[in-house]
This record gives sequence, structure tokens and C-alpha cells, in this order.
Amino acid sequence: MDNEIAELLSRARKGDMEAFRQLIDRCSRRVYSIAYRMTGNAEDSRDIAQETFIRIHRSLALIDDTRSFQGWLYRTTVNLARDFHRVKKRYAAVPLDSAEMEAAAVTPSPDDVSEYAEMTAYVKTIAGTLTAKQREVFILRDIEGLTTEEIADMLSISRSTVRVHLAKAREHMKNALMKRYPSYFTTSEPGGAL
Amino acid sequence: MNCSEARRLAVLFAGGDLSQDEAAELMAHIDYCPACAGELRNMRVALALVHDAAREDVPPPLPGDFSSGIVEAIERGRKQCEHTAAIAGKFPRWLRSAATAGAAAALVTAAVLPVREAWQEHRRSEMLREVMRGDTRKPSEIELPFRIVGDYRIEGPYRLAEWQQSSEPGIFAILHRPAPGNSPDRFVIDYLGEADRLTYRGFLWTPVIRNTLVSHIGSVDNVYIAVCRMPDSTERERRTISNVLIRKYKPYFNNGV
Repeated sequence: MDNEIAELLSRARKGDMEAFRQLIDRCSRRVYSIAYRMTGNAEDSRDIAQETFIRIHRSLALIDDTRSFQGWLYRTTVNLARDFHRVKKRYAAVPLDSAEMEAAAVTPSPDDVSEYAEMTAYVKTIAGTLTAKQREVFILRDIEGLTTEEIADMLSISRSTVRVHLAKAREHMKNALMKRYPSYFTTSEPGGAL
Repeated sequence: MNCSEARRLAVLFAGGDLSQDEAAELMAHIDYCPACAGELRNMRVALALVHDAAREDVPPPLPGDFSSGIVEAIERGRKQCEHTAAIAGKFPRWLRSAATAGAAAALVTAAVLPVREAWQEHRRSEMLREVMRGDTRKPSEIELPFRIVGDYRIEGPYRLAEWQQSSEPGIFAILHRPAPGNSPDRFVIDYLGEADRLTYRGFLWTPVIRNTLVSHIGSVDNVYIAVCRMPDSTERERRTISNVLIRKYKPYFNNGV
């Protein structure tokens, strides 16, 4: 996989747009997914993914290997998603797609949907209450499965800072889930295998 | 290891984020501390629920022509740049400033990129630098009432925060009042563009506007928009008209972008 990306990257740097198109095909799912986890909106995530690849294309000449390409790619995605949040906050008064925003804001009640779907919405909601850095680290590590080293590199922070944010985020998520769904958790004296 | 330290590590251990030594130390504590063992179990359950939720919440797939669309957009941008350069009718600045302190970086970039892209990159970074240090060049100004497009009716300017979006295609202008107190009818056109939907996403989600416009103008409250709906227009028609307008009004943020 990495060799294929390296080959495509090399061709794309020489101006081969077909190679760049194939690079997009290979990497877009992850980029789109990260953007989606950070924004919670598919249409915004598509915009972010598109903008990410346009920016990456401008910087191709500065990217010298596959590792830095992927780091650059995900870093750009995270930065754009972060900017997007900032702009969306500043323009809070702009009437966006209000129906869509309302839908996102409302947590479906257990009567309307299955508990599973309700839990999915709830997880999304509480992830949205994390601080920006905690949310980024949590999404990249626990949802997207990147390593703490990759995340540290991507966010330009130390690995220990990644661990601090991650621990706080997980603790926050756990406490919220325990409060809402106590039956899944152990509150009595524990026993059995870990 | 005390319980407080064990619980701090358990949070990381549940996601596989401890070194072998740390994990061994934690497990030694867990073996004789049922309370911390329970904490670890709960953390694992919480993470499992999060993973289940993530699996459940999958975004719709990207359209099949996603990559082709981006490649086309890049090609279009390149052609537009050629067009802008032709209108400008002058040498790119980086050639003239090659002897200055910034030349080294520009030349390095130019050596590895095709010249046009190097020029684009240089212009972009130059523009951002100018914005950062508060460039005071005046874009062209207009006064109300104004007409900027022949047969089409101009709506606005509205404060952006109060503007009602439209799903119709059209041309838009982003403006601000340079002196709201003294000349409330005087507006500066900062950016002109076209969109297939006159919506927030149709125009605001661009690097230029998003990153620089608001900071350049200073306040969100001073950002205005005027739109011209063109219901049956093609992108080419709108682009032609907006290019004419850009040439005429030379909005600051269209320059060299």
C-alpha cells in the first residue's frame, strides 16, 4: 500500500493528474471519515475532504515521502475541520440549513428509535462537549485508530500531551455513558476476568 | 502504585496505550485491587460502546466522481490563474523581487514546481503576508444605489448575519463599509464570485474568505453581501460575468488568487 502511494506520489509531483486522482481514491475515505467525525455532517465533510486534496496538491513538491504525505494529509484535514468549527461558530447567526442543524441538535428519544441508535446519537453529542484538542485526539485515536505517535506528529504536540488529552477525553466519555446507561457498567464489587 | 495512579493508567491501558513496563506495573496493582479492576472494566465497556456507536454512524459514501471532481477543480483553477495573469498583463512579482531577501525561498520553490504554480504559491503567500501586516491598499469602492450587472437585479447589500440564503445560482459580492459612521452608503467590494447555489456553502467555504476576509475587515458585523440571482444561468455565463466584474472592480481578495 505504502509503495503504491509512494509511486503515485512521485508521479503526481511530476504533474501527473491521473496519479493524483488515484491518490485521492486511495486516501479519500480516511480523510472524509476524520472530517465527518469532527464535524458530524456529511456535506461539510465532503467540502473539507475536497479542500484538503486541493491544498495537498499545492504542496506536493514539498512532500518528500509517503509518511510525510499521510501526516500532511491528515493534519490538513484536522486543521480544516478545526477552522470550519471556528467559522461556523463566528457565523452562528447566519441561517444555515436550519433543519439540518436542528436535526443534529436533537437527541432522538428512546421511544422514537432503538436504544442502539439513541446511544450512537448520545456518543456523538458527548463527544461534541469535549474540548477541541480532547475531541481531536479522541477521534483520531479511538475512532480512526491512529497511533499516539502519529497523532502527536499530526497535531504538533508531544506524545505525553496526546496521552493527557486522550485520558481526559476517555474519562469524560466513560462518566457520561455510565450516567446514562448504568446497566452496561459494573458498579458493584467486580469479579471475573478483565 | 497507588489507586489514583492505577486509574490514570487504566484509562490508557483500556485503549492499548501503555508501554509494556507500564502495563505490567498496572496489572500488578489490578491483581490485588478489585476497585481498580472494576474501573478498568468500565473503561473497556465505555470504549466498546464508543466503537459500536462509531460503526453505527457511518457517513454516506463519497460520490463516485469525487476524485475526478477535485482534479477538474484543480485544472479549472490553473486555467483561471492563466486568465488572471493575462489580464494583469505584467510580469509576476516574484521575478521583480528576486533580488530581495525572500528570493531564495521563491527560487527554491520555482526550481521544483512548474513556474506558474510557483507564481501562484508566491502570490498567495504574499497576499497573506500583506493581510497579516494590515495592508491598506484600497479596493475600488461603490456607493448605493448601485448596479453592477446589466439586466439582473441586485439584492442587498445585506449584513451577512441577516442574509437569507437561496438555492438558486447567481453572482455574489462580499462587501464592507470602510467608514460606517461617516458614509453609511459607501461600500468596498472585497470579493466577487459565482455559485451554483447562493448559500453559505456556495461561497463562504473558500480559503480566501474563510481565512482572511473576516480578519481583514475586522468585524463580522461589518461583512455584507449583495447577490444577483441568475436562475437559468450556466456556470460559464456566471463566470464570464463575474470575471468582467472582477476586472472592473478589482476586489482585493480576487487579486491573484
